[in-house]
Amino acid sequence: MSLKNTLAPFSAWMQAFSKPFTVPDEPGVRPGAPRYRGWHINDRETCIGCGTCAEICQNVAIDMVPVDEPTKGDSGLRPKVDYGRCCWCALCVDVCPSGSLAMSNEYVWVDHDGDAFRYTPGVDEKPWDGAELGWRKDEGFDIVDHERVPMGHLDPEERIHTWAEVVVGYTEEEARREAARCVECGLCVAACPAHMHIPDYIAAIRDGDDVRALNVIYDNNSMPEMCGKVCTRRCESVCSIGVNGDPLAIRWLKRYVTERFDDLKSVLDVDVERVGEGRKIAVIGGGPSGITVAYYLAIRGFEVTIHEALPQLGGATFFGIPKYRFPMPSLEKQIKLLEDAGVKIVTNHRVEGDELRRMLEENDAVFIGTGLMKPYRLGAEGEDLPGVVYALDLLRDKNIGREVEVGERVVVVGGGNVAIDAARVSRRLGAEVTIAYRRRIVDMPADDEEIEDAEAEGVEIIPQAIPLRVERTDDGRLDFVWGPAEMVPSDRGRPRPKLIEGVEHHMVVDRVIVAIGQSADHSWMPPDIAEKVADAKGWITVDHNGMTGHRGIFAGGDLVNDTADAISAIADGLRAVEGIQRFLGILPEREETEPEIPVITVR
Amino acid sequence: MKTIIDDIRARFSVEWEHEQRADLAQIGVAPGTVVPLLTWMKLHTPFVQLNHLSVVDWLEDGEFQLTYLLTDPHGHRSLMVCTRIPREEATMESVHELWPQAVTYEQEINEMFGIHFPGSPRQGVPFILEGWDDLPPMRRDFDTVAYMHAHHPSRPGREHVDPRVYVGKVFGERGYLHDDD
Repeated sequence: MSLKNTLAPFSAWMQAFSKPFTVPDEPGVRPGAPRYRGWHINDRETCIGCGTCAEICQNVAIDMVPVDEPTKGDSGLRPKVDYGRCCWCALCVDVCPSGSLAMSNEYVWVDHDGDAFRYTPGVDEKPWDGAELGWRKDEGFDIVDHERVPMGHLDPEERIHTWAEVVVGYTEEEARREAARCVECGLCVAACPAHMHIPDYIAAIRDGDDVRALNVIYDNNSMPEMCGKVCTRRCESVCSIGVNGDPLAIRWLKRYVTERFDDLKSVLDVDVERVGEGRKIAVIGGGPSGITVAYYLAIRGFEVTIHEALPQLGGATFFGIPKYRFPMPSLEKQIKLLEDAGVKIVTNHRVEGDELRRMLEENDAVFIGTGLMKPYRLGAEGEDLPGVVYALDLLRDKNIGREVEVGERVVVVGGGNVAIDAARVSRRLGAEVTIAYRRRIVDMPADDEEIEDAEAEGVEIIPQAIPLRVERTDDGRLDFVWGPAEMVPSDRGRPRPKLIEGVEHHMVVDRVIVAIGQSADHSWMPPDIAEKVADAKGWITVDHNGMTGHRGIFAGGDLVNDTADAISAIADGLRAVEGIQRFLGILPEREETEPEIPVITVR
Repeated sequence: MKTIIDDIRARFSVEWEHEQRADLAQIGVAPGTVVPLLTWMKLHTPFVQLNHLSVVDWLEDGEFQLTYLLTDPHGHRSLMVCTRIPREEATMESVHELWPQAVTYEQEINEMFGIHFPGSPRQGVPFILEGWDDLPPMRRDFDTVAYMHAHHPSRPGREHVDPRVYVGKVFGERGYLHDDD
C-alpha cells in the first residue's frame, strides 16, 4: 500500500470542519419539478381501455385489468402499472390515444408491501389523483398518426354529369400507410354488428399480405366489397385513434382489399365440414342477410335456393343504392361467389299465395329477408297527384335500367340516406334539387359524408320544413307547400319539430320525391303464418337463433333489426347460419353462459 | 454559424448543412472526413470542446449516424458534425486522442450499438451492462419486450387481459370460413 493511500483517510478528516460546498437539504420532501415523471394518474372516464399503453411499454410494466363492463367504444379494461418494472419513460403517456393517461410529479411513496406498488391509476385512489403538475403529452406531439390518408373523390362539377363511382379508392401505397396508423386495440370489433376481425385484416394490409386480409374479411362477411363502399361504419365511430384525431379509414381499407381480387373463389381458403349435405334451405329475399345465409350454408353443403322478386340479387344494395356509390360489377362479383359456392338463384320470382307453406314442407328451414319495401306515405294533401313519387320506386327504376325522368326541379322530402340518394340521383338526371327535412341538419339520419357530398353537388337542404300539401299548378307542375318548424323539447330526448302556424312557403317543382321511411309488407305470406311471424305493426321478432315465432322460419335484415343498415343485416344472417344449424341438430344448442375472460398470466 | 461552415467548406467536402438556430448548425460529412475535420476544428477554430457523441440507428437504410457535438465555449454556439457508416460490422475511427473523454462515449456506443472504435482504450469493457450476451440493446432490431420476458420474471400474480381478444370474446366475434374458428 502506498503512503498516499495510507494517509488519504486522514486528509479527508482534515476537511471535517471546513465549510461544505454542498447545499444542505431542506426539511421535508422537495416537490418534483413541474414536469417530473412521477406516479401515474388516469382519467377513468376518458380512458377507453384500448391497451395501447400496455402495448408500447418496453418494460412490460402495464397490465390491462377488467374494471367495468365492456361497452361499444370502451373495453372496460384499465391499465394497472407495476412499479417494480416501470422506468418512468412516459411512452405510455405519449402514446395514449384518448389522452387520459398522465403522470403526476409526486415521486415519494413508502410502503412495506411490495404488491402495493402495483395499482390501477384512476381506479385505486391515490393522494396524487388529479395532480395538476407532472408529465403530460406535449401539445401537438403524438406517437400515433392522427391524420387519415385522404381519399380522392371525383370533382363535384364532374360527377353530377356521370354515374361513375365518386370515391376513387386507395392506391396500394396509400392503403399500407393508412393501415399502419392502427393500434390494433380491437374496440372496433365490438361496434361492428357482424364483429368483423377488423384489426387482423388491417394488420394484414399493413404487412402487405392482401390475400390474408381478404380471407380474414370473408371469414364473417360475404358482401365486404359492398361494405367497403357504403357501410355505415360503426367501427370508425369508436376507433381509439378517432378520440383525438381521424379514425382509421376502416371502410376504405376493406374496399382496397376487396377490389384487388376478381376471382374470389380461387383466393378464399374455405375449410369447413359439409355438415349440411342432403339438407335444403329456401331463402326468400336476396339482400345482404339472405346472401349471408346462402353463402355460409352453401359452403357447408346445404342445398340453398334464393328467391328474389327483382331481376338481380342485392336487395336494397342493388335497387336502392345508386351505382355511383356501389357499381354493378362489385355486386356481380359477390353474386358470382354465391354461384361458385353452389347457391341456386331464382330471380324475378315473387313468392306468393301458398308458396311459403310449400317451401316449409320441401325445405329443412326457410329464411326470410325481404326487407322494407313499402314506403311510408307523406300524409299530406295532394300526395296522390301525378309527379309525387316515392324515392324507393325512383331508385329501383333507375337501378334496374328503366327510363326515369324527374324534370327540371325536384324537392325530396326526408333526411335519411334514401333521401340523399334520391337527391343525388336527381342531380345526375339534370334537376335542381332541394331537400326538405322536418328537423335540423344535425338530426338527419343520413351519413355525414353523404350530406356533404350532396351539398357539394349543389343539393340545397332546407331544415325544419314541414310539408303541408301539394297542389297542381296551371301549367301542369306541382306546388309544394311547406311550413317552417320550431324545435321544441320532447319526452323522447331529441327535440321535435313543431309547425309554426300561419306561415306558408311555396316551391314549384316537377317532382315531389317522398323518402320518409319504409315498412314491411307481409301480404305475400299466408295470413296464418304471417300472424305467427310478425306483430301487428309488421315487425318480426326472432330468438337468439334468429328464428321467428313459426318453427323453421328464420328472419333477418331490415325486417328484424331497427338499424336498417347492410352490416346489421349481415350480422342477422350470420346469426341465422348458426341458428339454422342448431335447429337442425347439427350444432349443439347454445349455452347461456358468461363468456370466459381470456386472461394472460404475465411471466 | 455561416462563417465557420464556409471555412469548413473551403477545406473539406461537406455533403449537407442545416442551420437549426442562430447558435446551432449541423453539417454532414463522409466518415473519412470526420477525424481530419475535427482535428482542424480543435486546432484552428473556437469549437474546441467535444460536448457529446451520439448515434442514431437508421435500420431501414442499413446505416448508423454518428453525431459529434462541438461547442465554442466562449461564443456559446455549437456545431453538430454528422456522418453515416454502414451498420454491418460498424467501425469508426476514434477521436480519443483529440479528446480523452471520447473514450467513455466510444465505450458506451460500443456497448449499446456495437460500433467498434479501433484503438480506443476501453472497447469491449462493460460500461453499464453486466454479462450482456445479446444484441447491443440500443440497436433498433433488439426486441426489448422479448428480452424482458426472457430475463426478468414478473412479480407473481400479474394478469393481463388483451383488449382485442377480450372485446371479441365478450361480443361474440366468430369466423365462418373455418370449422375451428
